[in-house]
Amino acid sequence: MELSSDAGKWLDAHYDPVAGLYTFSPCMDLADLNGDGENRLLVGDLGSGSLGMKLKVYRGTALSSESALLDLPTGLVSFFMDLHEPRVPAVAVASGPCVYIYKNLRPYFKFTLPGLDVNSLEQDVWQQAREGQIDPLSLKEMLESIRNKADVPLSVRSLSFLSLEPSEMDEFVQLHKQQPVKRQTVITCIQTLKKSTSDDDGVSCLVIGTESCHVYVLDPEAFIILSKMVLPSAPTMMNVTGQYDVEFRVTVACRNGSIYVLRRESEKPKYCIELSSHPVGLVRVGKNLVVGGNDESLHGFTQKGKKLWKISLPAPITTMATMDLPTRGFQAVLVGLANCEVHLYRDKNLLSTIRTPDAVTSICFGRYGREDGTLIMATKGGGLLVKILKRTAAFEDKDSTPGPPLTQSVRLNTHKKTKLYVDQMMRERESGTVMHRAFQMDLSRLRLATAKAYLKALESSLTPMSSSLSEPLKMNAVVQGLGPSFNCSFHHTGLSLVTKEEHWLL
Amino acid sequence: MPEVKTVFREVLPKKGQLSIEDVPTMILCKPKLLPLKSVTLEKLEKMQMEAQEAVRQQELATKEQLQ
Amino acid sequence: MEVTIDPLFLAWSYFRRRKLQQCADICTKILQDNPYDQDCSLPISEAAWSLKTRALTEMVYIDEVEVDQEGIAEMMLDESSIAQVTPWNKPGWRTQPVTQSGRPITGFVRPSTQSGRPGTMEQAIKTPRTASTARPVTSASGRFIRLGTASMLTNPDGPFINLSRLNLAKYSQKPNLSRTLFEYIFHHENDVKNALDLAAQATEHAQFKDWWWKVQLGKCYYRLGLYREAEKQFRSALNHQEIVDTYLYLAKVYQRLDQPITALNLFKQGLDHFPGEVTLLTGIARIHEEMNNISSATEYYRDVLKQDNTHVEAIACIGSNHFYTDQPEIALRFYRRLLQMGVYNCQLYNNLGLCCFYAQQYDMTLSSFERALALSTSDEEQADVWYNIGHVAVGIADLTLAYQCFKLALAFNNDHAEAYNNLAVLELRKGRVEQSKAFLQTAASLASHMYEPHFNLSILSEKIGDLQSSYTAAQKAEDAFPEHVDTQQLLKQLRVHFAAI
Repeated sequence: MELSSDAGKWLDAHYDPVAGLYTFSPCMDLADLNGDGENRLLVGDLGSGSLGMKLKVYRGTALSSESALLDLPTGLVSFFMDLHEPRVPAVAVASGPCVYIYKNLRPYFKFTLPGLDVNSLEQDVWQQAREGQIDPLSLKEMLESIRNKADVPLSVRSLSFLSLEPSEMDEFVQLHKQQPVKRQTVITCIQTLKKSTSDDDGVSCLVIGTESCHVYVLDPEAFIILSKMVLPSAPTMMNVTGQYDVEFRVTVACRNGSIYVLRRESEKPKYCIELSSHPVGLVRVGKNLVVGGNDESLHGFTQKGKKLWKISLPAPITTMATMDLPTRGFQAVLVGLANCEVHLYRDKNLLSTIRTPDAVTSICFGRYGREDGTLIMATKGGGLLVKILKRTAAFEDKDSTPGPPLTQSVRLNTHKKTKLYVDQMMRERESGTVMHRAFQMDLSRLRLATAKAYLKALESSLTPMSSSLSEPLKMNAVVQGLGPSFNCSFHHTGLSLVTKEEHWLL
Repeated sequence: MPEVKTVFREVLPKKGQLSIEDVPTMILCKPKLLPLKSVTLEKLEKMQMEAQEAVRQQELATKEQLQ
Repeated sequence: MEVTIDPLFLAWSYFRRRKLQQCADICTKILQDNPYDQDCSLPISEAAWSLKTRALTEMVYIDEVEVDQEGIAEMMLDESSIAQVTPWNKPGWRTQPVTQSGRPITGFVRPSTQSGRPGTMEQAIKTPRTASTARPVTSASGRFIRLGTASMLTNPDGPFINLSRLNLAKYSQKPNLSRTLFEYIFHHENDVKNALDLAAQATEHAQFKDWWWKVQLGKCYYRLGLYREAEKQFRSALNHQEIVDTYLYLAKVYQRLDQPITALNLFKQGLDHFPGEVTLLTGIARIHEEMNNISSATEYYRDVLKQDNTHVEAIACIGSNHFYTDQPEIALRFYRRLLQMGVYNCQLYNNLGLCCFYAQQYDMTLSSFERALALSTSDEEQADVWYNIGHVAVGIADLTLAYQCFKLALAFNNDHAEAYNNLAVLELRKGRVEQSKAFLQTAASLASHMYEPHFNLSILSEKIGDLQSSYTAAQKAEDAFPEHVDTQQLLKQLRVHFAAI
């Protein structure tokens, strides 16, 4: 039923199972890059994870350009950075500690996050190492004690030094001791925030979340930090709404399993939502937040953190995205599931289910080409899937909370009692005493026989486990092989939790 | 003391809900019906046993000869 | 006055009475007096020679249709669909114990179904190497060869016929000798190559018109693993003459070629010519059984019984099916029928004991088991009977007795995974967690295809708070039995634990 209704709602525009596109939702965006009214798909491709990271641009069903990225992208957004004509958006790709800005798909600017304070003790230790006062082994000891005590964490250099084998340490010190110690953080998420107008082509600031538990707002033209906010934990996902000059909210899902709401003019979070499981998706629909938990559940919250609803999903969530169709005033949440389905929810009601040929890892909905309602999905196996919402499609809000489960009324497949069974019951009823006596007599005989056999087995140590209470031991022999030589392994399990294995070649 | 005959009766509530908590417990493997052997299999096994026995006898004999 | 019987006639009479050794002895004596020469010899020595070959063949004759042993190589390297049928396409399956490969144990065991198909190479080479279940590397070696060599060893004067000195071409011209010779070479000597040579020449001599020789050629090709050639010969033989055996051989070829549906169709075709033929019906039932379609298999076994109400295989299979579908009282009826027919062995009494117990006929239960113990011929049987008695003991809540029984099962068969599992359950009741855990681990390593040890291990680990081990074990249980509800529930519960902060 669901399937047929979905075939009526979505047109299959394109499917390339071998597109070689490995990405996730924060690295996908749609933008009119040439100012010709036709939207392109921008993808930060993760490649194999260590090689082949690329910025890819799709036009229609084809890849129109690609350029190499230096590091793994953690987020990609398109935004207007100035008011120049023609109105062409820039692209920001966050990777490592930097944001790379592209204009007309050419590198334009690189913004690097400010360095963090370095532990002064650490600096002193490296200073001593540079002057040759301490050998690598004592350097290691000192760094370790700093790591255990200090408030300010160690720099990446010290951490990688500590992970080395003693033989490699000397070389590492020689190579690095001349450079000053720096502590750098990395970007975990990136979003945009309109500067002063809410127009579609208004200038936007970049909002960056970092591993050092900060959120920065960057000026779009000068790339200076306009505002800096602190979180109790490292952010993983972010949602931004409002205008910088007026009022804005930054909703951040953090690694400690909580969601914080930041507002203008406050350095610290205003609201906090503590979740029962780790958030794996954060999406805003209207004024409400929809959060996916890794316990296969979807939660709705008001923007002040009041819980509205919770539903269970049939499978773990792989990704989430908003479906926003302003022309129709329609907003809903798309949830990619590990069981190769994409569910569409408005509030807690399931509107539609899309079956996909592979699990979807990345969803992006919006205007693509000249088509307003386009759903773009990248799959786990690197495929690209494009579907277009039919103009005639209508979603019905049905409260799908089911009544009693269907299985309740399913009859169990059990046999009817046969006549034979009844006959035997009758026999049992009539001659119960006789049967019982016979059974009891046999039972005593059997007990005796068993005890005798058991004693014999114990005496000749036939059982594979020892019978002594002081030395509980179990042995198990396995013969393997095709002959003429065999491998015979004996597994001794001492019940003091020590297992020994012996191999005999016969 | 007069002997009082106490009668225990089970209590079966007629109203209200009955709830049972299903606690998973360890399970036993099922009893094992032994499959009957086909005639061919029995003959094969018999022949094999006999052959083995014969080989063993011969080996014993050669051992004795050697000694 | 003593009446002397003509020795050749006496030998013939012995042969008819299946006193084969005496028959062969007399023939040997006749041949000593009248040496047999291939080129020119008396009719009497020719007759004696022929009779002796027949006697020797009969001694080791086994029905070629029934014999089928796959070697490790064939088993592990082919991906036949019967092999890959998921054993769980029917709900409630796992009430039944399974073989190594996870296929339910049925009521009857034939050479080809003996030890099931192991899931991994390790399992394959781990198969207990006792006389009854040893598995050769390929079917081209193995039991036949071993039997062949054994038969030579038992003959102190060397082989009766020296195949290397035989002029096969000449024999192939003599239809009255060639057939017995062929059977001797094929069954007694197990020399398939020479048998094939002889058959090829003989069929040529018969101008490719004799179905019998074609069938023999097919048999040789089959043994050599040339299934397509075998198929050709059997097909051609069927064109000459419709014979039930040829259908059976051909179906065997298709099964080996992984075409169970073709084999089924062939059997049905055969049934058109030979309506109600028991062997054909049994063949169909067996294929259904192997494809885990037990209800259809039972239907066909019922058809078999309509034709032949003393068919042991059909009775046993239907009986075991009833037992495992919760109708022990009907199973009991079938097994009692076998008893009436004169089947008298350990397995039958064991099954009767179980059926009696579960059908509440307590007075007969224990005496059946006692008899089963007395009749058992091998340690494995003894172990299985003790294991089942253990179940009865659990049923009457005599846990001491149950404990002793399961331990005895282990004493007789150290690899009895089920006994290990049940023992672990009893140990846990006594509160001995370490012991219980060790037994479960052993059971799981001995029989990774069983879900019970994995599931129990999972529950045990969960109880002592080792959630990670519990999860791994539950996953293994799920692999072995995906529909097991309790496993699913446990997994769900564990996932909630893991997802919680």
